[in-house]
Amino acid sequence: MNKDIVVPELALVAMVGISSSGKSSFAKKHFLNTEIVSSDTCRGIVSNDENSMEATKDAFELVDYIVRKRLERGLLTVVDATHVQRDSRKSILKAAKDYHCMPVAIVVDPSMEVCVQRHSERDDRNFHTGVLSTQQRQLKATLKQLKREGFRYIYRLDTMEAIDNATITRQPMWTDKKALKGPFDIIGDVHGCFNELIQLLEKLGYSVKKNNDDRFDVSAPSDRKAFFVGDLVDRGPNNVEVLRLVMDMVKGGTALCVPGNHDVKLNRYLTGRKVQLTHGLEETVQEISYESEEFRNEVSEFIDGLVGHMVLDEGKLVVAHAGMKSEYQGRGSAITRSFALYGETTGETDEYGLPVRYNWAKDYRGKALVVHGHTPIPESEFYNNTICVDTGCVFGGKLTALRYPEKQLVSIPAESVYYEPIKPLISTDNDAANHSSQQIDDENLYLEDVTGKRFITVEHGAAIKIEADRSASALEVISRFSVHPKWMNYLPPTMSPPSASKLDGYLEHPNEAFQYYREQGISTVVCEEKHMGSRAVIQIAKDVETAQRIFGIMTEEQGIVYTRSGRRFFNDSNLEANFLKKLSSAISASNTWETLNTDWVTIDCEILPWSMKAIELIKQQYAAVGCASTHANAALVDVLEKVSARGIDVQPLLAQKKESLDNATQFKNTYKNYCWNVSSLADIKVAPFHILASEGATHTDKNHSWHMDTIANIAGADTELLLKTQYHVVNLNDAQQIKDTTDWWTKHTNQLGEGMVVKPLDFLAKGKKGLVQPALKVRGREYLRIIYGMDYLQDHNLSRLKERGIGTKRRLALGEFKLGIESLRRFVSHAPLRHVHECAFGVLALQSEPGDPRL
Amino acid sequence: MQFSITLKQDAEKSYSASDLGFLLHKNPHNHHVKDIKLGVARVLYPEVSDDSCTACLHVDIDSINLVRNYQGPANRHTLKQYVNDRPYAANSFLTVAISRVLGTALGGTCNKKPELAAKALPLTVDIPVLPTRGGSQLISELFEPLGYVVKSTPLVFDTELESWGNSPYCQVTLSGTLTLSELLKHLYILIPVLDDEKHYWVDEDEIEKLIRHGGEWVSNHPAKHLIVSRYLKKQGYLKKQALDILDINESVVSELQKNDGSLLDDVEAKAQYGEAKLEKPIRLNDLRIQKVVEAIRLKDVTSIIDFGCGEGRYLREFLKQPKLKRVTGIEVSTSELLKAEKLLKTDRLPEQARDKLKLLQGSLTYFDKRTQGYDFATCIEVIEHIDEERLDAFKSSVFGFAAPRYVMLSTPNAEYNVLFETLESGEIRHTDHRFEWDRATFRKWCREICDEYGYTAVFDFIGEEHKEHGGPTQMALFEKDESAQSKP
Repeated sequence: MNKDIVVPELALVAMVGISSSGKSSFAKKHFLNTEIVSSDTCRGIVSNDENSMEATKDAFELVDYIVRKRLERGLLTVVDATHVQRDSRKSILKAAKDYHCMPVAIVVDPSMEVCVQRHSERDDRNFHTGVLSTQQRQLKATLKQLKREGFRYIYRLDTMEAIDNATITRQPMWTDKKALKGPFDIIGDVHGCFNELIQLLEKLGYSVKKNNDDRFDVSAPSDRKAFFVGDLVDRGPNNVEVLRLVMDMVKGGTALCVPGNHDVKLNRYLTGRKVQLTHGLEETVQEISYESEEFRNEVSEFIDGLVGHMVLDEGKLVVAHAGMKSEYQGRGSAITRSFALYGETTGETDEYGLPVRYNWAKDYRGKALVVHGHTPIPESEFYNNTICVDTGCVFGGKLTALRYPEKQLVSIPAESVYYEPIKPLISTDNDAANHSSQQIDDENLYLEDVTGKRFITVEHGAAIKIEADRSASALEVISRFSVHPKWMNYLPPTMSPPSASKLDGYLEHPNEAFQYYREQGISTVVCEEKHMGSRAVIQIAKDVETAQRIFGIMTEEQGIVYTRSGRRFFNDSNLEANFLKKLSSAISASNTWETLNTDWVTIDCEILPWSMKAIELIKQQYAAVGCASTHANAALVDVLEKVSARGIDVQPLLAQKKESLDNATQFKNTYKNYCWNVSSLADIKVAPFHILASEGATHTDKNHSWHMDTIANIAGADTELLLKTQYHVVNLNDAQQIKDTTDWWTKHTNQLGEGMVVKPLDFLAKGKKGLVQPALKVRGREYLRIIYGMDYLQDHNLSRLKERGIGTKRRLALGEFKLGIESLRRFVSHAPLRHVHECAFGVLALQSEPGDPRL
Repeated sequence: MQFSITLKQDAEKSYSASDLGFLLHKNPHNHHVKDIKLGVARVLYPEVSDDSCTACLHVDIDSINLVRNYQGPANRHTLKQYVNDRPYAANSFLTVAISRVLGTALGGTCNKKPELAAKALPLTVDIPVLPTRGGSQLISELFEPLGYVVKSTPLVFDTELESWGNSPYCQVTLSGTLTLSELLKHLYILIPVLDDEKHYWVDEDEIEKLIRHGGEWVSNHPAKHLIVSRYLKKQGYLKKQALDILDINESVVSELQKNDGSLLDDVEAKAQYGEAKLEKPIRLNDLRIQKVVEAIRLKDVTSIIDFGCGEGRYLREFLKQPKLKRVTGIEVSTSELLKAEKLLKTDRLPEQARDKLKLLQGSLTYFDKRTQGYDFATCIEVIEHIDEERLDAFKSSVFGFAAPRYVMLSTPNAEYNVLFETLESGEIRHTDHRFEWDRATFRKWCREICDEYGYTAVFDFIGEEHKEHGGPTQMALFEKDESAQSKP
């Protein structure tokens, strides 16, 4: 007869049997090579001798190490050793317990004669057969012990036939519902609040019908399913009706359910165990006593059949009554079940005499969103990728559902206070008024959450790798200069120029930018005037309270302006406050808050003049060089003229140096064009070019015309502060449009304008290999003097400068761009700050990669 | 960049000024061109007569080549920019040209006119653009003791923008009566000293050059410490060797070094040098170390963590304390950590000391689990490098999260600044200082920490205390109040 050996998918299997019993062959036949950890192999690894008795201790330490690594990663593991000694089994059981998986024993026990026979035929086992008899005696004793020791599944194969014919079935874990993807409506603790539940279901689009037999017929909207996080009963007015409805929904396939501690306690009562009729149970018991015994049995079976927690949607969602730490997710043990029902307590009690719960969510770093109930709170909020949907309906709060994957909250207020809470539901902590728990927690980030080698997953394309030494550089910049990470939902990417121009006398020209996008299959681009100032990001809210609520900052600021490396832009806080006030007036006056349906916005812009932030750089680098070159060239020209007058031919050199002297003047005029004194707000100009994000939205789905129009609208409301950016939309197949734009660029740059930025019309534009460069800057001939040196146009210089590699620059520009928009996406979806900050960190890390600073 | 040397005929007409051509080994009737690394050197004679003869040494630097093939020290940001002053301002390229093009004259050799080479001559040097890091009076301080009449005119940044003030360059004329060789040697050493920059790595060869060209005059020069220190780019081990050879006492020079913050750029480097110079007479840094070591002796502590350990000068002292079994340095700047590894000789430490010591990159505005569980923490001259708006994060990380039993924290006392002669009113000691607090502000801040995190604080000064203004550095020693209920 075939014996079917059922093994849970996540199990630690101990092969048990004496030497030469055939357990290794059995394991190899039924399990993957990589699933088997053999003690003999480990002996060999640590000592070069698979029979070495002397190496036993080290070998088993290695076995244990490998076993634990595998279990930590959630992999079934088979240990191939005799396991006839208690100590070796102990370490198996300990590891299984530590990683919350099932210990399984498979005993391979053919007759002693078979083993002796095999042993004598082997030349790789050179010990005396007496060892076998000793082991056989130990095995006999072992067989009696296995169950008591804690093995949950024990199989014994005691004939050759049984060994040969046995089959293995891997049983999925009860908790594994990864195949169920939803969408779900996950409903918080009902506690007998039947009316509110009906209203909530209806609001969610379910239709509930009660049949003649008092049972319910529920149909769900499209393919949705309701999902109850447990605590259906106790304290509320209508526990039996709630049970009946939920059971019918589960039966009818319109709902899933995990048990709550109250449900389990009810079942203990129903199965005749002794329980205290407190915390609302007595009312439930009373209610249910009027029901038929059949109904009571049905309830009991229903609760008994509920799985403690479920892992759903390919591991992206976990639902459990009291939550679930990531180490326990998808595992089955008494401890994980207890955690699902009660959570963990610290052993202390609070001032109301209630046990202090361990705040597992505070330390939660798992990838799955954990939705739970159990702890009534006034408002559901996302916290470290967890959310509690128990909003205390029975205590007069409301009944809440989380729509998944939409992550929207829907709720129905309680019709009355059915049960007085022992401690007040509304926190009296002042901080909590304007800040979420997440925001309060995020006041300080953990270093380990943002540094080191990282792979940052982004929505568009492969994860972006950040090397440890680069993130170390980013840490230095952020720690020394940056504003509070809470403000930094975005850092702008670097921008690449086009490849070098083929035209004489130009290093950069629009042709190459157009050509790049044409080659990428882009048909329409937008060409925006590039202002020469300082890149800045503006966070601005309607008022201080909004800024606090959205950004979680604890200061009294309406917003902030920061530089591309995250440093506060304004040194003068009054100036900054006035700047923000003036800008928000323009946003209000242009009705942009309403148009965007928001009360805050993130703006990408250039702030002028350049000299406001960069005056030290301008003086120390540009003006110094302008001054030194003028004097040095003048002195040399003077010498050369005298030398020439003495009849020595230095004409070519003299001509070149005279030209350099003119170039120095041009150079000075160029940088001075970007400098003016700032004595008040009236001297500052802002040229926004992207509306990056506002409530619930990143605006990367809108094209650049939308951005330009929206901005022009705001700029119209305050022409003193705001600059409208000139721009042209260019069809790349229209020669006339290309000519007009090129002429415009030439004129603009001859007047010492910096140049223009060419972008695909769509914010996110895909080419042959994924996203294309989000923008290319085409800088003007004169402007480039301040980048490449005043004499860069001289033939011997220009020809060499045209040889420049832009590959690295483009790779970084794209990587930083992806991180920037990922960061915005995470921010608007209320991700924990460390997830947003990780992206900003990544941008700075990439920017610290050595590259050509002039590109 | 260039300089011109003019020789005038003496009253006795004992020589012709055009003999300058012999002295320089360069015929005044030719245009001399020589390739040097990254550029071209030329000798040109704009004026040749018996009365007066001028030779100009000019160096043309190919800045594209300079940027693309630059392999020197990486700390100077502008050398990696095409827009930089290296082709224009007198600097180490010019000294390379002196030895490559005028090497014979530099050595004082002249076969045709040996007596003239040995003779003190009336020479004038004109340097149109001379960098003066450290102010234009430094030019006088360096050249006047050597017998020159110094005329220096600061060059303004921009004649159209007077408010921008003076550039870091001067037009300089030096006149003196000395041998040509002496003159060239002075320029050879002092141009890079004034520029405070070299385009190549400074190593042992540099000592050799300093001794060869400065051996006769540097040790008697009143600014000898500055000359040696700058010439050797402040590299301690080189400096010590050179000073030994030149027989100069090192004690004062060590004060030129300062251990906080990394050199971000040249402007800051200057400021850094400035702060050390400022505080020099009182040797504050040594006093700070003493103070910490004293405190450790008195307390029952076995582990210490130095927040913002910089190049590890405190850690070095901590490692010597037998009672300390764990010594950890936290520093955000990786370049400072590398310096610390060097200073503490981490690769050569005995095993026991190695097990004691940990150097970690970390930040004081993030929670860092590695910082927990220490008895004593030091935070010496650190907070003033953190933006005030980020100090709350610092407080919660150090006092709330790391929460050592003792924290010793120091910061400059702004009230004392009036006593620094070279500091203008309202100025701060270091450009990277985000603030400098007076005593009341500091103490209020410390008391808030005590209230919030359950510490008590004792205040003190480091350095000589002034009746009215207090000490130059103010300090607090915090002790965790075990009885108090602190916030979690």
